[in-house]
Amino acid sequence: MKLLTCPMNGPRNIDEFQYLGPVRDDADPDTASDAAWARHVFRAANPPGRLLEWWRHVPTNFVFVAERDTVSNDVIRTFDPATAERP
Amino acid sequence: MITRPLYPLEPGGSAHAEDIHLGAAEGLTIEDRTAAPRFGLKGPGSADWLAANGVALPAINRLARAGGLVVLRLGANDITLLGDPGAPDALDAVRRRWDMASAPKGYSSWREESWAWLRLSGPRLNETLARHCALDLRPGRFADDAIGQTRFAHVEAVLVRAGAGFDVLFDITATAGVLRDLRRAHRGHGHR
Amino acid sequence: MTRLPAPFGSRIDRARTVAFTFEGRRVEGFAGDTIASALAAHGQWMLSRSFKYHRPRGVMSMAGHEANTLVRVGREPNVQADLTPIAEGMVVTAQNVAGSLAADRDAVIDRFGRFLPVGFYYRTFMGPTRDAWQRLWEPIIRRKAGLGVVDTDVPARTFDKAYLHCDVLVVGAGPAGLAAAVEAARAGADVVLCDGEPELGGSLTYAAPDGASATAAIAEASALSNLRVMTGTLCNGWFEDNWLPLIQGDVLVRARAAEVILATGGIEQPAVFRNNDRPGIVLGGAARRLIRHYGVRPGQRAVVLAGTPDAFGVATDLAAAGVAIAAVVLPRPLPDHDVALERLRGAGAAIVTGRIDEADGKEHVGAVRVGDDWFDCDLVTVSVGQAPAWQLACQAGGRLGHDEATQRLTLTLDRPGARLAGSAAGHADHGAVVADGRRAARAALRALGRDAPDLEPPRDNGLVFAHCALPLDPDPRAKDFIDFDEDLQVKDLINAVAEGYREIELVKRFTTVGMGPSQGRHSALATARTVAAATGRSVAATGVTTARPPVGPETLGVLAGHGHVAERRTALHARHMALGAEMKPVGAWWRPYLYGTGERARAIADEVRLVREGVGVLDVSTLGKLEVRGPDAGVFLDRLYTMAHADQPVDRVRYCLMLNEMASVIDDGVAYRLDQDRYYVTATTGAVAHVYAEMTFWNARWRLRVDVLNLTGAWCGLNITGPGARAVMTALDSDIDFTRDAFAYLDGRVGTVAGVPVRAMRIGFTGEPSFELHCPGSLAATLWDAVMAAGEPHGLRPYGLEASRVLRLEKGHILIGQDTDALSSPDELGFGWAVSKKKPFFVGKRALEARRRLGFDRRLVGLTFAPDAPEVPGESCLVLRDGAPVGGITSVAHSPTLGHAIALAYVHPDDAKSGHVVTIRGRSGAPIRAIVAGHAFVDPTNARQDL
Repeated sequence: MKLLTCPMNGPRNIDEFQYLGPVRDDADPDTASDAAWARHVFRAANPPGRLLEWWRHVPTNFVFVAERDTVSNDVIRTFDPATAERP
Repeated sequence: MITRPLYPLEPGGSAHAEDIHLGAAEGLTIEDRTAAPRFGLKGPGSADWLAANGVALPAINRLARAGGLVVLRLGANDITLLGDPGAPDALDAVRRRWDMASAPKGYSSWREESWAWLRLSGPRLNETLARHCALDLRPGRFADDAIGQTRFAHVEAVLVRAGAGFDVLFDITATAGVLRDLRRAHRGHGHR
Repeated sequence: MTRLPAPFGSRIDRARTVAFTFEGRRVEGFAGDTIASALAAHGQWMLSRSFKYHRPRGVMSMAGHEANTLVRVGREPNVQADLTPIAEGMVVTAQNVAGSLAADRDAVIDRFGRFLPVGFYYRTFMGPTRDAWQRLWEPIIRRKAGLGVVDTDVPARTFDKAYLHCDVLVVGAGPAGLAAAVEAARAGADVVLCDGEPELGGSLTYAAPDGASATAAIAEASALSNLRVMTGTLCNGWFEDNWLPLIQGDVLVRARAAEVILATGGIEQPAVFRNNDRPGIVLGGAARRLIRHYGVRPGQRAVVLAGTPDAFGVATDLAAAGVAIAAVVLPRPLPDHDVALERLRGAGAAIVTGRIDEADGKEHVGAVRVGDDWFDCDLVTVSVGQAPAWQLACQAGGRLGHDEATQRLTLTLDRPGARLAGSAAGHADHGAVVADGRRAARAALRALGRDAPDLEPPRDNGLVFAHCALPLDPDPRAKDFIDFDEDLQVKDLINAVAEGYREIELVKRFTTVGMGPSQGRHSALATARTVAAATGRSVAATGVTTARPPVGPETLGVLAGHGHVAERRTALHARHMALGAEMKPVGAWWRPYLYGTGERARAIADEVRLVREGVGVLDVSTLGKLEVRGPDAGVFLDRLYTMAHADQPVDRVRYCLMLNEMASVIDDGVAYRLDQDRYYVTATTGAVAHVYAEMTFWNARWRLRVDVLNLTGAWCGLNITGPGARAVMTALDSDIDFTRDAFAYLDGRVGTVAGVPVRAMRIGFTGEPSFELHCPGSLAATLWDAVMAAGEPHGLRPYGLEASRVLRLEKGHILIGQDTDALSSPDELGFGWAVSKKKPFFVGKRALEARRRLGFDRRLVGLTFAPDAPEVPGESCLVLRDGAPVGGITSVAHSPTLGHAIALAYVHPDDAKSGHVVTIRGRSGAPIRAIVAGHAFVDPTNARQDL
């Protein structure tokens, strides 16, 4: 089983985590067209390579961001978005 | 009217049943500490208020023992104080001061109601932990002041060392199921 | 039962006789025997019939590497006879036989093999008619194919799971693994050494080279306290981040190792010649295991195929065991072994150059042919080399290659945290194997941050002759098996290539080579060489098929563990039990379904009537209970829910509806504003975990000053409901004024009842006057007792979940998840009233607007059925319009209050008007008429709840 390193709890079996999807730029609901909004809701980008993703450590309910290579499945880093600014 | 709290393993409690065996005979002692006092704060202002009121806060996922209190730092603003039966006044004092204080002072995390609290000890402790918890709890790997917020016997739980034993704090409504799991794994293995 | 004297028979205890039966016949063995060794001691070699041709099969590796040894033990199929110890009274039977093992009616298939060509699955069963597969072929194949029969009545057995952490996990306790484990443990690392065999030592226990012994290493391994030895433990896979399942009997140990050393050794390879599958033709290692582990003399007269120097060790053991050696067959010169050959010649063995071309014998080998010469024998030992045990290494990202010079398969592994050692890494000489184990341990120690100087790669002189690649030209009369599990011969693979399947993975799928229980252990190398020759490529370029877990067979019970069932109980569990409630699981929760006894429908109707006419109490403790608090709590709820909460007055309760970003309804509940900065929010029982996670997630993105606390398990709730509810409430000892004018519908109050701190709300799901009291769980029983006592003069009784469902349906209340699906929008549910038109933003608002522009094609409505309707539809029955489905029934029940059936259903929007008639297809298939009803079936004007 894969390990994922929670910024607060350290490395844990990945079954202690909930995957919450890729980090997306929040589209502006007031200006987006219906088509653009539908794309925002339904068509998250799934590029090969590095991707920022939301994860939750379930026992502590701690939400953080992981940067993962979607080709190799290597997790490059994890961080607490409240204390670390995204690059 | 006098109201007496009723916890799961007491007669009339939700997990009170004849088939749940708690005893030292098979190398594992399970002590029910659910009724032992504790007090938790969580949410904005919790850490600041405690620090301002003389409770020294350890780092996140560490515990500190001082002044008759065990301070569990479960998160930046999630702190639970476990009372020391030898010094029951310390916890009461903090709680009373909090009750009287005005906001901001954090919010109650109701840990005294949300958690069952079992203390496991005995010669087969390590084997029991290894059966129910994926965390590396080896001596030397899991520090004396470490807190493991993880899964134990299929439920989310907080694990801390308690002398030679371990305290396990978990969803109080799962008490019967957790005890049944403990007993089943323990007996199943004992007979092999 | 004659056995060879000690030291032969290291595993058996001659003082303890164990009796079992095989094919109905009583067999005696010794404690420590496997099924196969005990049977071999009695001359019973045939253990099974082969998968396709029903040919007689017996032991070949004595290492669990082939399907030949699969037998049925008691009710358990597919037990490996060469690995499984015998037990007193064990009942062993052969598999895949029609009739008996000795007289298998299907053995005739062997003679018609040409009618079962390779890939026959894909072409034979297409005709003669369109449904021939289902009617004709499938039943035949199901009967003939597969190994063993599953017994669905098998009694439950106890399985279990555990976790294990260590610094270094060494898989394989042969010379390399032992050396590695001891080296790592000496340096202070926490080491685990596991091996599937019952003792340490690996090949040293049956095939030790001169002067080599495991004794010293075993003694040291046993003495090191930081070295845990797990024998009889199968490491059955490698998973990401060094997570390895170790199967120890009926326990699955999930190991997480910082460093893994794979000292998995080698897999001895068979030779390919006509009738190479006859019982009595065994690998050299198998003969030595029989002799040394079990004291069994494997035959009277042997032919030794000496492709590698290992054969001389085999011959020495055979001679010591009293087996006459008829011939030593040398496919190639072995220059350093003239002395040994001379000694064998002197003992009467013919030394012949060549290969074994053919074997003869009906159910056991009787002779082999080398060129033109036949040699009578009842045992053939095969020594043509090993393949590295590649399964775990390849799962960890290792690669198999082929060394053209020595004709060996090579294995490489380049991954942090995992390394090879010993024969698995390609070493042959004993000294090199041991040295390589130590070298691997040093490397692992360095990776752990310990000071451990590197060791020189060992010099290995044994590699040149370690493998002997015999030609793989097909025998014209076939039966030269490459894959014994699947009965595949050389020509089958050549034919597959001729059919156009040139890639090894395609050859595998077309021919099924390597798909049987042995997973290519004996066939992968020969397959690669055959396909390489047929396609004109190198063996390395041809490759082998992908290795996946499990390495060996594992029972589903081991994977399942002890069958954990999640269980949560409310604090009132014992009260319900004392009242005789029938408890049922709802998700993880156990809830009272019904309190009454006797006829079920009548008991449920009684509980419904109790609430409509008197007063009842329901344990609602399983409701999700979330406290949302902080300076931004109101703003937070405004963003999450469709109604306005920031402007909600303190002490008021408001319905709340949660959408997801596509504007589908995902939950509902109520929000009770306790303070300016504190709300008490309920969520449905099944959705609270999801809602809690969603709230946390949104808060992580919005970063508002809010904390969400899940009080679901900490607090309990009771709902007192019915025309008599207020009378009960006012009879309670409380500082809350429960009178009508003081406590209005959707009011909330904090106070005490019977000394218990409560949060009281005037909310309900039944349509009757209702009061919900929430309190800390430890005081729930006190509160319950007080309510029951106060209610007794008013006829208060508890009611169960089923009555609750009927009551809410009579009132037309929906259950999220039952009456909604992934697409349900508030508009489809008629919940437009619950969606704020003023708020600039809430989750789902944007999509809701877009969906409104698209229009909707269904509406959730109530349906009534005539009291004398011959059939009432069940949940999920389709609503039809002009014969086409437009929706379905989501909830249905008999209403005791109305005396007929009622339902909620999705219908076409044009039909969503009171009085319209819709048609539903019932479970019987017959059309059922129903009339669309308005918002609620009972008390549509909501007059009752404010009585």
